Amino acid sequence: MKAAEGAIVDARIPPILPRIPIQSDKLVRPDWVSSKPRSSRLLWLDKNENLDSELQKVTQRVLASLDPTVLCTYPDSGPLCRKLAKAMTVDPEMLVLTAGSDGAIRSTFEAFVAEGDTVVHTVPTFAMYPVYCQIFGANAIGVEYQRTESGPQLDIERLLWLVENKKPKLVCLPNPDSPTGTTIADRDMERLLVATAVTGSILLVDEAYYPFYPKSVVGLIKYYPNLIVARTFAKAWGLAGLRIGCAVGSKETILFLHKIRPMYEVNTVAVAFLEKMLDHEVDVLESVNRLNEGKRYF
Amino acid sequence: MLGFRTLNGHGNFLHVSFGSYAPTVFASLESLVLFRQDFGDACLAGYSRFSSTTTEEFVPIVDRIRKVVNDQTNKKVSL
Repeated sequence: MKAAEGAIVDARIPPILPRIPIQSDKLVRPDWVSSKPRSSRLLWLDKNENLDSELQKVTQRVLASLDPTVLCTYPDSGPLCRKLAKAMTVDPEMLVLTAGSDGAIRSTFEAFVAEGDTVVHTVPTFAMYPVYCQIFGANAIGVEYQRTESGPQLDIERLLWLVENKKPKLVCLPNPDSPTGTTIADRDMERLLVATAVTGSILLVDEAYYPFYPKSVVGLIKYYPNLIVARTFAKAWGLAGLRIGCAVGSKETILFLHKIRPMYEVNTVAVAFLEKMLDHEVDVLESVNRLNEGKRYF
Repeated sequence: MLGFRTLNGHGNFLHVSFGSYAPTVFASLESLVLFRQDFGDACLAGYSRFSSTTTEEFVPIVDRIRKVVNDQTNKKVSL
């Protein structure tokens, strides 16, 4: 074989192969080269962002107040962790910063799911659950929402049966779920917490839409060390582009997520911005009210 | 408001089923707003999804949908 100058071509060189789950043809991601930017002439209501112009006035002021050195320095996330923990009324050790709730979900898979482990998730749900199941070689079991007159409905008895009989390593439950917008009743959530605690399954509750849906299970972490809550600042806080969120759980559980975190889990701009933005929770709640009013108007 | 079936979800988005008006509504909104027109999943088939926004931002969208509905209703009446 004639190779181009400088190239190494040798039939004896074995092909480069990733981990077995990554070799699967079924693992396909959206085209990362030919995506087209959205038109600025249109109103963007396709990705569940918060484009409230009143909230943008606040975020623009916060952005303008940042020290320019945030661009040339590595992050120190300690002060933000402590401030965020205080705002969420948890201990700082119960929290790890992540790249949105997606980062919390991925870290949970990375820390707890080995090849062949069973993972239960709803269908349809956030697109990355089935993707992470494939990436980490999990045996994914989907619980499909049923179509009813009042909208999609989850068969909670089926979910509980799967927990009790399949003893999954991980149960993924966004609350509210997306794209369905459905929530789990308090009593059913408690049944799931008990069932997963008994089987030693991690229950990952994604509260990405908090406080659009103001109920939270963060207060139950002290009773359930198997509970991890994912949060993001992309929705209500209008910070989708910042890619910052967190995972909250018992100190012992979150320690595992800290063990696998990158050297810098989030960037300095995000850390500095959020630290200041946390002082504007009232503005965020007002924005949530404006968006809920708009929803009712529609 | 316009009589379409909606879902009372808890996220920052809403679902609406435009039924037989869907093709005309989609065409009329094409130059105004990006939204998810439909879902492949049976539990949400036929529903469109809009992210929540302020009433002020929703007004021109609802107005345009209302115009589609009125135009089609008038067309049916004149037939």
